[in-house]
Amino acid sequence: VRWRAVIGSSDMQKLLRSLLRADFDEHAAFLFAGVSRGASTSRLLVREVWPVADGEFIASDRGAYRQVTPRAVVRAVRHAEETDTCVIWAHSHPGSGNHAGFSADDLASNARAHPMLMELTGDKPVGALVFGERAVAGEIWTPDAKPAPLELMRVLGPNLTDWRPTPNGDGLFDDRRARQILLFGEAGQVRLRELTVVIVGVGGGGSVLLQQLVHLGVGTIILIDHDRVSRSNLSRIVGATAADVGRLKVDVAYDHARRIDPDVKVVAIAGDITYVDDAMTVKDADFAFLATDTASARHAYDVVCHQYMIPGIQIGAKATPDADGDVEVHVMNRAVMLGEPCLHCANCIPADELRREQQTAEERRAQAYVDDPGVEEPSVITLNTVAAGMAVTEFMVVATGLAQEPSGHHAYYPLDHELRRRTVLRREKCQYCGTVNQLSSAARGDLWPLQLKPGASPGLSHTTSHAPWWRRLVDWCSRASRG
Amino acid sequence: MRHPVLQAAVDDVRDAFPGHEVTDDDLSDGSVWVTIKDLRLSDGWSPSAIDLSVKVPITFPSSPPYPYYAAAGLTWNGGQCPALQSVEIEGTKRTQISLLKPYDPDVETLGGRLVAVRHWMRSQ
Repeated sequence: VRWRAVIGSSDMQKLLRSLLRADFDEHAAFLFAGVSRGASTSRLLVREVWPVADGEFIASDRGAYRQVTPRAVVRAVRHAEETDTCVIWAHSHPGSGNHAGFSADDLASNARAHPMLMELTGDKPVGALVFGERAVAGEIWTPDAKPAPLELMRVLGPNLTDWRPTPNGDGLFDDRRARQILLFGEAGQVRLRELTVVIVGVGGGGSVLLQQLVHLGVGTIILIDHDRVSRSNLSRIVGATAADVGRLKVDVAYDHARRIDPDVKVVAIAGDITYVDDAMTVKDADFAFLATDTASARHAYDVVCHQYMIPGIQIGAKATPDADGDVEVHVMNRAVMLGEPCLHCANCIPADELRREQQTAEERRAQAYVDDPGVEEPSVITLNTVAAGMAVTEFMVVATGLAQEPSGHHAYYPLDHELRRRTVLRREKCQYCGTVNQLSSAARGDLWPLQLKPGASPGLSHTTSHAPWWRRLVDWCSRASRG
Repeated sequence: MRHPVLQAAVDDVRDAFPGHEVTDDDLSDGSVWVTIKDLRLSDGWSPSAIDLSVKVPITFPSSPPYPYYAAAGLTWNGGQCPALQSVEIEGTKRTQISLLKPYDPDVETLGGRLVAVRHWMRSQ
C-alpha cells in the first residue's frame, strides 16, 4: 500500500512557517489527521497543525540533534485521543532544498518512538515527516505492516500541488495532446495522467464532463450513476444513440470514453452515492465532479468530499419558468475545496427537499406531497456544455498549477450574457466543512462513519472496468444467464 | 452502528426530557425512531397524555425533524385540528402532527425542537 498525505493550503503555510524559518535551524510540529485506507493507496487527511514551541524541541540526549520533549508528545497523544485522529510528527532539514530524507538518527528515533505512539493512539497509523524547502519525505507506521515511505503530500489550495521526497522527473509526451501541452507543459500532462477523477452522474452534464476529461488525458476516471438512458435523454447525453435507450448511463459513457481514447482507464459503477458502500468506491479520488440534481446526491457528495478531502466541482443548469411565463435560466459551478464554504453552507441543499427525498413513498403521501414523475424542468445540451466546460477548465488550471485564485462559485446567466461570481460565507460550526464542531466529519476519513444510508443501493452491483472486449462479453453473458 | 451525530441527537432528547422514558429504534435506512413516553398535555386534548415520536433521518440535522407522531385517535376539543391528520405508517395507524418551521442546527437541537412541540400542544 502506498501512503499519501493531504493538507489544506492554509495548514501547509502554517506548517512551513513554523518549520522553515530564517534562523536556518531545525523545528518541529505535530499534525493530526484522519485516515482513508485504500486497496492500493491510503491517505492521511490533515485536520490540524500544532507547531512545537522551541522550548519543547530540545537538544537530544540520544545522540541525535534535537528531540521533542515527552511532555509535548503526551499532550499531542491526548489531543489525538480526544479528536479521534492519528499523530504525525514533522521536522525540518533546512538547506536540503528539493531533496528531503531522514537521517540515520531520525530513522532510529522513529523505530524507538512509533510502536509506542501506535499503542498510545489505539493502533492508529503514526507518521513522521521531514521537510526540505521544497520537498518532503515521510515514513508511515501501521500495526499490520512494515513502515512505508510517503509517496507524496498533496496541498489543496487554488492549485493541487504535490510535495515529494525528490522532484518527479517522469516525462511523457503524447503527440495527440501536443497542442494542449503548449498551454500547461509536459509536467501538466503528466499530472493529469496521474490523477483519478470521479464523475457522479453521467447524464446531460456528466457525459460532457467525461468527454472533455478523456480528451484532456486524465489517467483514471470513475463514473457512478444508477439511472438508465431514456428517449428524452438523447438530446443531451453525449455519445448516446437511439440504440442505447434502456441501457445504464454508465455503460453508455464507458463505451463513449473508450472510443475517444482506450488508454484512459474508466471504471463504471452502477451505484448511488447516497449509500455508504457506493460512496466508499469514490473516496480515494483526487478530484470529484457532481452532475446530478437531487438534494440527497448533493448532500452525499458534500459529506464524502469533505470527510475524505477530495476537491471537486458541482455543476448544474436550471431553466425555470416563473408565474408570469418568463424563464429564468442560469448555469452554476460550485467549487468544493478545502477551506471554502461547503454546499451546505452555501444553502445549495434545500432542507425540505432533502427531507422529502429521505422519506418513504408512504410518508410522502401522508404529508400530501404529490409524486408526479411527469413534471420535468427544461434541460438543454448547450447549458450543460457551458457548465461542464467551465468546470473542466477550472479543474485543468487547478490540476496543472495555472490557477491564480481559489475557484469559488460562479453563475452564468445566458439571457443577460453575464457571468457572476457568488460570495458564500462559511458557517463556523458547520458539521461538514468546519473543524470547530466536535461532531464535524471534515478530514476524518475512515475514522468517522459516513452519514449516509447504510449498505449499497438495492439491486445495483454492476461494475464495468478497463477490461478487454472479450472479457466484457463473457461478463455480459454471465449476467444475462443469471437473468 | 448508529451514526454519532444521531446518537448525540438522541442523547439531547433524553437531556431535554428528564423523568420521561425515551426509546430509540434504528431503522434499516440509517434513521432512528425516537419516542418520548407519557407526555402530559393541557386540558382539551384526548387522551391527556401521549407518546410523542419523530423519525430522525440519517441526514439530520441537514434535513429537519418532521413530522411528529402520536397514537391514532388524538383529538383537540373533541374535533378536528388542522395540524392533526390520521395516517398509516408502516402498517400502524397514527396521528400525524404537522408543525413545520425552519430548523437551524446552529441554534436549535432535536431535544429543543421536541420541547417546542410539547409547548405548542400545551398552549392550545
